Amino acid sequence: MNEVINNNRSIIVRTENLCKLFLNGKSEIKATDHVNLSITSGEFTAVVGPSGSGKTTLLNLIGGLATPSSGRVFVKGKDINQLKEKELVKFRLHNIGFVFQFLNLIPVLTVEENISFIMELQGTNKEQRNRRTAELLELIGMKDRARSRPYALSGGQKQRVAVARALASKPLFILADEPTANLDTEAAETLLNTMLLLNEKEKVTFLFSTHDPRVMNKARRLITLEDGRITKDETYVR
Amino acid sequence: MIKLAWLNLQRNPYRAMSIVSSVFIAAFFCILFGSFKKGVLNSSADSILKISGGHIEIRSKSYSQTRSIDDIMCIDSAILDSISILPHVKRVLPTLRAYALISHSSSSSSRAVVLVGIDPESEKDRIRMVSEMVEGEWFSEFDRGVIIGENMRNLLNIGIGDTIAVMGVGYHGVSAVGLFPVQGVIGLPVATVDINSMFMTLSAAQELFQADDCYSEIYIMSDKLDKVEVIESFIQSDFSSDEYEIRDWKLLIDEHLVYFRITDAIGFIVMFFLYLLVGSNILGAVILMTKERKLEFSVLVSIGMPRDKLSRTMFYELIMVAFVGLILAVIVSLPIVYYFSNNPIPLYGEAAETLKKFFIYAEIYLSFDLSLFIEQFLIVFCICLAVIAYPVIIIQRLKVDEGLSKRES
Amino acid sequence: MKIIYKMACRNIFRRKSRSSLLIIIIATGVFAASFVVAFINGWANSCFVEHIDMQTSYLQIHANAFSDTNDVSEFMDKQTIKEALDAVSEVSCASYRLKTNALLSTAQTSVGLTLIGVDRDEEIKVSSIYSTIDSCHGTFFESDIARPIVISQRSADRLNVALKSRIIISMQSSSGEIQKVQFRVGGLFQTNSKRFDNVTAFVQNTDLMPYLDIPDGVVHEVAVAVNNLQECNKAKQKLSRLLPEHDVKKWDEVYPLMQLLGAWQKIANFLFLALFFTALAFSIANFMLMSVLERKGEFSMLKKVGMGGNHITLMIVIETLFVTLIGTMIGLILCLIVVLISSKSGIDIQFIFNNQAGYGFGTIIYPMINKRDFVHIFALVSIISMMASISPVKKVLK
Repeated sequence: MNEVINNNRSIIVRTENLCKLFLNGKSEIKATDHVNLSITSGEFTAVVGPSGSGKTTLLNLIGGLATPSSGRVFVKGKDINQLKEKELVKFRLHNIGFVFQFLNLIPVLTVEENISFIMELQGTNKEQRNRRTAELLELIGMKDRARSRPYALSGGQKQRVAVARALASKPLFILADEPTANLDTEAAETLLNTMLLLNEKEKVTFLFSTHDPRVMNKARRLITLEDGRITKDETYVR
Repeated sequence: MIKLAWLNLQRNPYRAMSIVSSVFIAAFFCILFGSFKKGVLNSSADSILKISGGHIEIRSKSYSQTRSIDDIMCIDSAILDSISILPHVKRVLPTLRAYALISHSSSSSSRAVVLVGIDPESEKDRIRMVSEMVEGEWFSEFDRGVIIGENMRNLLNIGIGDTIAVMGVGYHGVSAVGLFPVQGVIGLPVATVDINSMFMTLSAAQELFQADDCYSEIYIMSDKLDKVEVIESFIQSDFSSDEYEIRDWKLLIDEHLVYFRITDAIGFIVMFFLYLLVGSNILGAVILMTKERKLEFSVLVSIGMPRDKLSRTMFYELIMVAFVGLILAVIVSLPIVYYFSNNPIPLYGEAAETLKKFFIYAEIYLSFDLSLFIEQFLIVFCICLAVIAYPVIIIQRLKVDEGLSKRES
Repeated sequence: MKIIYKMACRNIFRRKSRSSLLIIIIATGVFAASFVVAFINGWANSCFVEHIDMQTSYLQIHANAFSDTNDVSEFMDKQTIKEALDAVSEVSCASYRLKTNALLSTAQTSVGLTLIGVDRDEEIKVSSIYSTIDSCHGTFFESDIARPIVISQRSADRLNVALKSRIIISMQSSSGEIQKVQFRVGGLFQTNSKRFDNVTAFVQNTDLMPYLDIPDGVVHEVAVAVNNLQECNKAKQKLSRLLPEHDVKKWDEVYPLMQLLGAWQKIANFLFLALFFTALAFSIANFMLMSVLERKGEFSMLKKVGMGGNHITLMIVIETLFVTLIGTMIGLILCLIVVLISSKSGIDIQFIFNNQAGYGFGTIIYPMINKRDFVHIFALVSIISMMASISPVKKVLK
């Protein structure tokens, strides 16, 4: 079911009364508390809030990495929690890209291999893989470091490769959990610009979680989370 | 410091468990192996001895040399009774063995055989274990018939009901003559014994040879191979070494002893490799754990903890873990070994079939020996001690800055 | 999935210490098992050789009633036997012997034993006793001494005689008469079996015959050599059919207790190895569990990136398989080296017996191992490793 709203853009993610409870000894912690939101395609959205506000949990729930205590998550109209484990894995592989705060890259593989890894798992043939990898390397400006191993790269470079890797499978959207947290200003700037570029060129939706003001400044939509609940949802035109 | 060690262990239970399991596997298999080894040796020795007589053989010295019936020994039955109640004595088997000529109606020639007089009750179990009645019945106490071997029956063409005439020389030269009906046929595993021997009750034999309370050999069967020496020391008072010759199983099966020694040797070699194997397993676990905690050690040393203290903490940690593993192994293996020391493990395959041919039950009893447990416990413990040296050395030689800088390996 | 294969390989090299530890464990296990098997093979072989060569030969034929009494009157017709033997292709040669109990006496003592009358040329093809007589201890009926007797060194010590000494032999002829004949010691042999040495002595057929009062062309015992050990059974069956009136025994049936011991030997060996391999399996499983637990973080990252549980399992399996291969190779090569070295000079296991010789076989063992054993061990260890690696991974991935 393709839900269409004003701008003729489809909704790719929709959550319905999403709740996630954690048990810490005897007390219950509501990481997400009845969260209802929709993300449309092409967005460049940041989920912001103080630490412990449930940003990471929300992203994990949307990405299918965690199961909600109650409520549902629809990706492209599909309730992802209805899927069996194997189907979910496959679904994630083809539709969702991830960028984490650290430990994004497989240490034993080169930059090239890290990017083409996903495609190989998807079953894309060698020619297509090589083409797409070259494309992405060009976009993130790391063609010269194609054969390097992750340990030889700086933090910023690693994150850029992570974004390229996330894009390799042409996913519906990319979830990025505090991608700039470990980067200096310059590196963060470069990373964000890269992501903006990709957002425009590849028309990929980006959903961040962050408390970095630099990211917040570049986002076109800011969702504020406090104690697991959405308190603000503002769209900006930049 | 011990408390610190205990807390450290609790911090990462997985790590502790992995070392515990390594030690557990080591100790468990070493104990089991030792028990199997001893069990096999005992079972095989026992089976040979069952066929050849018993664990201890008593003869008069003169009889050993001449094998003449005049040199048999005459012992008061009270002495025999006193032996049978000794600890670890399973059975006392007195026998009266003598050469005689037999003849029967179906042939004109006579034949020399060995007449073996046995105590039907005591021998029932022993002989039954190594042979089978093919026809007829085993002796009851007052029977006056003979039981012959299958091969002899076939050779001489006689069967149950036939009468055999026996002619021989009895004790002190009296003539031993008698007629005996064949009351049973038995299949004996050792063909040479089968074809040359005839069995009758001890009392019948003693009557025939006019040798009351006299025996050519007295065999003693023990329930445990290692207790034979104990029994020997007890009976030495009743049988003085001038007149009597006491031989234990080691002498009786002298030539075959080498097979047991070889089995022992092979077991020894395998055990050595077992130690090597489980030792390297434990070492591996400890090495991994040490590597993992290098950062932690570097931090501690750099903030001022003396290396010796750190080493000692590690030592206590590992000792505790080793102990847990060892004790667990003993707890688990104890009931297993005990159970199988009383209930045998059946054996299958070609070799087992060979055993069955000899009418030996193809099964093994494990050896339940506390000294075995203690021995293996100590050995594995020593291995653990040796292994613990590794982290101690690492800590002593640790370069703090290196340990701290390695964040992501 | 080439990428998974690449990852597996590189993972192995990245974690050098972990991989090499596992390799060491597997190599130790494989080396131990194969060495023990080689050792056992070598010993069993030397036992066979010793017994068959020196004592029993492959098959023995007696008259049915001859058995252990060595009754002189129970003889067999030589011609019948010869024809039967010629008809069996597996038979290579035979020695036709006379046999009787005899008493050897000197002025001081006497010793009872079994006297075997042989034809020299036939006998040396079937038994190797002659080879134990070295030049200073006489010959096996090659000298020109009249009525020579070859006894064991041990018997000579008991009788207190030396080469060329005179011995009186008393034996019972078939008619029951006791015959006393003087022989001279022509050679002194020594085998590794005390028992055999003590009860055996050899004379020439022609010297023994006249005193036994038996017709021409008869023998008491025929010792038969077969082309090789494997054909023994077949030969026995054929001969039994051709000679139904006679008793054809295989080498291990001549001394039945040996059969029994052989069976126990096999059982013991099997149990030892089974236990060892079980311990190996558990060790590997334990190690794999540890290493998998340690990599939990790595797995969850891979899962997030998009790798499915099956892919991860496959990667681990490839890693394990590769490491197992290396470990097994090392173990087998080590074993081969040791076997090759020791096959030249043999391993002297004297120390086990505390210098008590005379137990029925030489104390030098030449370990041997054949391809089949290698393949078995290799397969077994590989299977164990695979199983040991799959289950921990599955558990951790849940």
